[in-house]
Amino acid sequence: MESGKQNEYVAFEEKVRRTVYLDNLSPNVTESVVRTALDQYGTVKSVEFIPNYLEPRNMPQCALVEMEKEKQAKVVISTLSEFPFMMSGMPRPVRARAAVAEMFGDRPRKPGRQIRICWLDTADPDFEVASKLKQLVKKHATETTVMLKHQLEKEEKLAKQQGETLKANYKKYEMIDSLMADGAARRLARCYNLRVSDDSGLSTFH
Amino acid sequence: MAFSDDEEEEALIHSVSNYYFNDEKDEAVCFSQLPLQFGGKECLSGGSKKKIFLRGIADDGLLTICKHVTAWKFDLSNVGKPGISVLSKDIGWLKLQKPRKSFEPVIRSVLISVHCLHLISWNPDLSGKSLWDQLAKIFRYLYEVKPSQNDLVDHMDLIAEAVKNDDSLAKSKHVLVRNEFLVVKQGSSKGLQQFMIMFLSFWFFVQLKSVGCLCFEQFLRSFLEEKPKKRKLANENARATSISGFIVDDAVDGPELDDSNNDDDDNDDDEDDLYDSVCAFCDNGGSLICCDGRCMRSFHATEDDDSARESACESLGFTPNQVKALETLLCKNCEYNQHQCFACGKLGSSDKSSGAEVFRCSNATCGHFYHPHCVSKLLHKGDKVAAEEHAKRISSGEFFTCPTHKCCVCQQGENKKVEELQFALCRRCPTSYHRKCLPREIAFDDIEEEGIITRAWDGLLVNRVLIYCLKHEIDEDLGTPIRDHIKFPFDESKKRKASDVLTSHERVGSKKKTLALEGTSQERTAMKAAKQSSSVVIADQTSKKSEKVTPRTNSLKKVKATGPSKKPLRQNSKSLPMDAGKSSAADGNKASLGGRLFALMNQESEQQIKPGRQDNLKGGLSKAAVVDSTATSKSSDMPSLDADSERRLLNLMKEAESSVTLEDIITKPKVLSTHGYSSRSVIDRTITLGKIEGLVEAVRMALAKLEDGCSIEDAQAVCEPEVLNQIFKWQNKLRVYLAPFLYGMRYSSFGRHFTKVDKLEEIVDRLHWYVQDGDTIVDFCCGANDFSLIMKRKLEETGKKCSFKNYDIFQAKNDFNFERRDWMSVQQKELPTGSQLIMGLNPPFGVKAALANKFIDKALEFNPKLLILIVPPETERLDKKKSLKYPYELVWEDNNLLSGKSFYLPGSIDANDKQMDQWNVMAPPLYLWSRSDFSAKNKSIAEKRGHVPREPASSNQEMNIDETRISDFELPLEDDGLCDDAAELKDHMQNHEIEECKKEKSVEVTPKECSPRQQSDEKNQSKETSSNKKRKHSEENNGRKTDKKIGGWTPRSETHDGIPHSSPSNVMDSSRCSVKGASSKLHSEENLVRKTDIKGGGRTPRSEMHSGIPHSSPSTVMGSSRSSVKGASPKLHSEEKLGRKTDKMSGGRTPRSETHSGIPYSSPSNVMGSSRSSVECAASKLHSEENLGRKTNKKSGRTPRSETYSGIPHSSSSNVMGSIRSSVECASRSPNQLRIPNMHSSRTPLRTSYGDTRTSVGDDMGRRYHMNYDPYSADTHSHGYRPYPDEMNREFNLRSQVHLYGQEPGLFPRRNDLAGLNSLYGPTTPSYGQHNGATVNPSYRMNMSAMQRYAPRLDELNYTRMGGAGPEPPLMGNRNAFYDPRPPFMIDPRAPRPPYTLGFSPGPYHPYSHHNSAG
Repeated sequence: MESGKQNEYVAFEEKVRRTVYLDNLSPNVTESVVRTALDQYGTVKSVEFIPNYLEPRNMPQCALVEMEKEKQAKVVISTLSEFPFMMSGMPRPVRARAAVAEMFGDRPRKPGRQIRICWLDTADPDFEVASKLKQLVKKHATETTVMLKHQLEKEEKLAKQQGETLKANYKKYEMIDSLMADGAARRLARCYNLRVSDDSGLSTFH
Repeated sequence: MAFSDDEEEEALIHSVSNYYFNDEKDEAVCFSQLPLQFGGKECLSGGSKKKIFLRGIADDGLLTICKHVTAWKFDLSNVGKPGISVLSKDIGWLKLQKPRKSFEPVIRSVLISVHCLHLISWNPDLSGKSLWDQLAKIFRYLYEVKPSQNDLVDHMDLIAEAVKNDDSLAKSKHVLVRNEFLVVKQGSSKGLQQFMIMFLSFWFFVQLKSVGCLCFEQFLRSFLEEKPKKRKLANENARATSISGFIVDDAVDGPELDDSNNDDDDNDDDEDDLYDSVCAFCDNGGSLICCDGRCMRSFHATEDDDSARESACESLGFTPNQVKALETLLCKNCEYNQHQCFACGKLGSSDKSSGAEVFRCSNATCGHFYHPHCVSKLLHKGDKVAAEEHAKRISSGEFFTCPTHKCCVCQQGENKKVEELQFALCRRCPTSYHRKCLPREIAFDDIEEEGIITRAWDGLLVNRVLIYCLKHEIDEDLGTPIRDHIKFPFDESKKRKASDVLTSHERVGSKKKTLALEGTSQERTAMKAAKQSSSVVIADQTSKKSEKVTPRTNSLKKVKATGPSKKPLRQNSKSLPMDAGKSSAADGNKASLGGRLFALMNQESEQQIKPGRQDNLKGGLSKAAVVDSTATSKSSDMPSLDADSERRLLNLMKEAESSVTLEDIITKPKVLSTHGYSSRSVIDRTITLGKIEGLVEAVRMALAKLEDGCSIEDAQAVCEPEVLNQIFKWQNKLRVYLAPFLYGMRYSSFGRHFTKVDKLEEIVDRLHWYVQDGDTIVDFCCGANDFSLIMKRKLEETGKKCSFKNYDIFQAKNDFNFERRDWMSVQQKELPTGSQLIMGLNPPFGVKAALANKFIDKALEFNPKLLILIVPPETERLDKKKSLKYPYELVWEDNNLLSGKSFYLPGSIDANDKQMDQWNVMAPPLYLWSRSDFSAKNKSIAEKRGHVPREPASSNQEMNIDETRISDFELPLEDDGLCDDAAELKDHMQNHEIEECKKEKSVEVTPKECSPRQQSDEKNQSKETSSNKKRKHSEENNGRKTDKKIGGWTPRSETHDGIPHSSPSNVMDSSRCSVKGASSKLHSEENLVRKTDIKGGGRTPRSEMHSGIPHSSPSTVMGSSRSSVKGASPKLHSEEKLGRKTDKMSGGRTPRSETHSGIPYSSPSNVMGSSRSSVECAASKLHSEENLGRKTNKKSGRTPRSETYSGIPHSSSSNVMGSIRSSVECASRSPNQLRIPNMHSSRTPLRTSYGDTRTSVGDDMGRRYHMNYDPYSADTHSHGYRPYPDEMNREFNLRSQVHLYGQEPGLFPRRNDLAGLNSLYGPTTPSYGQHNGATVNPSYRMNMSAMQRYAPRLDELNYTRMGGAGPEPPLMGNRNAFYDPRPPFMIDPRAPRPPYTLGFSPGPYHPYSHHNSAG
């Protein structure tokens, strides 16, 4: 029995090593997106999104992606941290790092570890420690909320600003495009005997 | 400062400029090799005892000197800059002015050191960061690379010496400490350098110890302390901290960053050429900011700018921070639509919507506004009536070009390409001259005796001369006319009088003079670089940004550094007033950041403030702090955030934010240097809305002018060709920049694209013939790494053993012989010699194939014997490359293979979770290049295998590209037309989709089938099975097809079905097979014949169909090969055929369906199959005349191919040329019939010998072959742009002759039979022809209209369409809605907000997507 648990835990640890923790994922990223995206580097065994119970829903997601081999997991991590990696066309690089056991909600109990739960008397010296810890957790929660609020604000601001830039640039593009669309530019080029390369190879994905 | 110049000696010569030093060997040496003198005594002897000579121009340029010098010294007592002098034996101290340009690098580090000392001596309290900033400023124009500690390292001795001798320096010890500290820090981050620097520091320390400076002891100690601490921090694995720990280094040694900017500058050079590259105020260059509005002027944004200061420019008066924050600049004029008339200078409304008073000149780059009456007066000098009339027209909105665009002397336009005809434009009024027409009074130099002052400057404007015409009085101080020429609306408060601003403006004029004098290209490029406002501004920004960061990091460092002793901490913190607060907070012997945070926490809790908030952003670091704080934090009630802690949190956030800088992110992925990170700045700052408005207007006007019958020159006065070019360039730039939004979801990951496996298989199919045992096959950008595996499999099949090497910068899933590496870093010795190397495949393309070229160049270093490349057409061809060790020759190229959906985007999925394909509009050709010493061999292989395509004359290409595209879609259209159902159009599109799916299926099938069949060539035993398979296959096909037919859209579906099957590989295969069948035993002559056959058969159609271009769409090819199948049907009754053909159903096709029912060889692969099988039959059963049999067999084998031609008339009818051609075909048919008997006789033996259905198939085919072949060639002939049809005919004749001669006499009886068949043929012909004629014409017309109707639809397949559909600004909302199911009011920062990218991603990923590809 004990050895079975032992084995289970070893297997779990193995899995942890094979797993990549992805952060900063767009809320729209689905399992298949992740799967396909990482399939370039190795076989994806499973994708598990870590549910977010606390924060607003529109926060970035995170996921645990289990690769087939440990090496592949490493490759994914190094690649994604070396190059900004976009997923689902979202203009925000995804972060990757090695998963750790605590990230798994369903992790098996560590063999040999025992958790004892009991009520503490107010007089107990541990009581103070416990209440402090409790306090701390609460504090963290508030802090996180505040931080998130600020983060959202900032990003909104940024989004607005960038939206304007994009709009402006798109306007430019449209203007030029209108010239292209009705062929005026090309006609003129022909009149000038100007050789205009078709796309200069730019417009295509090549 | 102890040293000063010796007064008496200065009387002689006191300064030398344009100087340089050399030693006896005439090598440039630095003067720091001379002994250094302080206060008259020699303190520091230079390294060598060489004789060193100073050369240069003494004093006022009159005297060139060459003096032996023995010592040098520097003088820090001057205010502006340090003086450096050298001691000459005979004339004493010579002050060094400006070094010779080429000499600058030699003395760089010593100059920097001296300047550094100078700055320190004058500003003892200067912080390290600002010191470097100032140095960077001083040397900005001198050196491309920013000054850094590295420059000081070489001159430690000098610095030490100076410190020893100089009180003021001694006072600023701490600065030096900091400097050295920085040195050390940087060193420690760089590892190797560390030891050296430690040594130096130690030496430094020893030196200074004699001076008794406690500070340095401390420094050293702190240095020693520093290391372990940093390690500890690193262990904490807090990225933020490690960044902040190194931030100074990052900020200071930013040469890479600079470089990247410079690169961009190069790319964008042409951007600015067309527009004013000088400030509208002061007419000087520098870092300018361009107005986004219609005036298109550039301004100095801030007075602080060097060039602005230099010309005493009043500038827009922004602070540098404002400049940074500025998204786009809209000048007051453009903002309020109040522009000045360039003629009279008065402001007027330019708002066309509400009664404009001034109008802009329509020239695309002009940007000047005029009152109608002002400009018309100028345009019609002396003719009042005309002027008034014109003024009216202008007022009513007519376009005009202002007088600036005609030389005021000769009234001719400008030609920038001819120097004489370049313009000199007055900056103050609409007056311009040709260079040649420039009056003498407008001179480039002062001519004092005539009282002429400089009015013209070269090199400030690109390809133009900047002048002030004689109407304007030059202000002596300014060197320009008085700068009151710009009026902004509502701007009364600010008196725009430049002379007030002037402080030390003597330099202005002289500066310009030197510019004009030295108008060398070098100078000009320097100016240009400086003018790249955008990038400079950006650079400024980033440096500013990092400046912000520095104080904090400094403080951190301080804390760390001074941990061991408190005393110096206080001392230091004095020099850092800004940091005082923080440092004092840290004043609890807390050394690390964590400790500091802990201290913060402590303080809080002690002060009974509610527990402080910790920042989770910092991860482990703050966690540690938090954990610490738990011990001390007092418990309280439910924590709600008070203002204080919130502020603290915010501060922490700010810190965290500032610790990650843009350049961190930019410099981090140092992969391929061609990434255009600056695209944003270019787009935002250079491509302004106003410019584009102008461009668009100008293009339209120019076109209108041309259409009105004006001369080209007139049009060019409005819109120069360069401008037009610009617009294309800009469009591309914008497209690249906006790509993420234009292409939406298609954009993913690294934007790579891989070649699809089936395409790779085709390539391998072709390539493996050239591979020899023992070769190494290198895929330099292997992507998914499929190629080498497929190759390996193939080669193993054919019994060759090769090694493989695959490189990519991204890990491939399949790690077969894979190495994750940048191809550029692969060394020559790592791979075998070139004669065993086969390299290539699909490199990243890059913008304008830049990356592809780079990859190829790198590959050429290895001198591979073969290069197989999938590269864009604009890639530099290898035979055009000069200075190669081995020249390369093209073995073949295939423009067709990779058309359509040949690539996929790895990691990206579409809405249906399917791997995304990529549709390429312009298929990248596939090239096989051979090293010239191998090319003979390779070419012979190519010919043998039928890989050499018929290349049409290049002159045809241009025209054909269009046709290809059209034909892609016309073919189906035609079919629709034949189905005579207009409603079909819809179905058509739907079917198309279905077909695509099917296509994929069938693609899977084809390759599988391929190999057995090929083997069957050699192994007759397998014949049975393979043909069985084929039969099944065909039956399947058949069923499907008839089904479709019922649906009424058969032709269409066929077409699509055909695509995969008939794609090049098939055509190729078929030709190859036939070659195979006959190959080994044939004589060379026969080979020749065959080859031409193949050309005629397999290849020509393809190119023909596309009227001379091999970019045939697969569909067409397919169509043709399909129809060939038809030809194979032996059981068809002539009546049936006839009926069918006269039927409006596509004649070519109908029989085919017959084929399916009657004959197993019906599937697309049948082309191959039938030919092959007949070969097989012949091979096994032929008697002694094997050769003959082969020949004939081969012929029948080829027949299907030639049948292809029968398809052609149909398909070509869909070509634009179709109608013409088909008529030609009709005409040419009759003569061809004459030839038929011949051919048939040649065919007969087959029938006789076997008499089975198959042979008769051959016969039938043969008949068709003739019938179609000839018209075809005649047809091409008549078109006249095919050089070879004649030849073909000749060959054809020749061949038939050969056959005739080769015939056994006993075959004659069969001829009758044939004749009978021919009689069948007889009636067929007219109907056939008629069919062509009749259907083609209408269908052609139909195509045209349908084409138009289809246009948008067709585009849907093309990415361009995406462009149209994707990105309308309102659509951004849509996009969100589309991607983001959440309610719109909840703005999701993480959601795919298009705008976000603008921050940085277009940089990183646009380039990738364009550049990265792999196969």
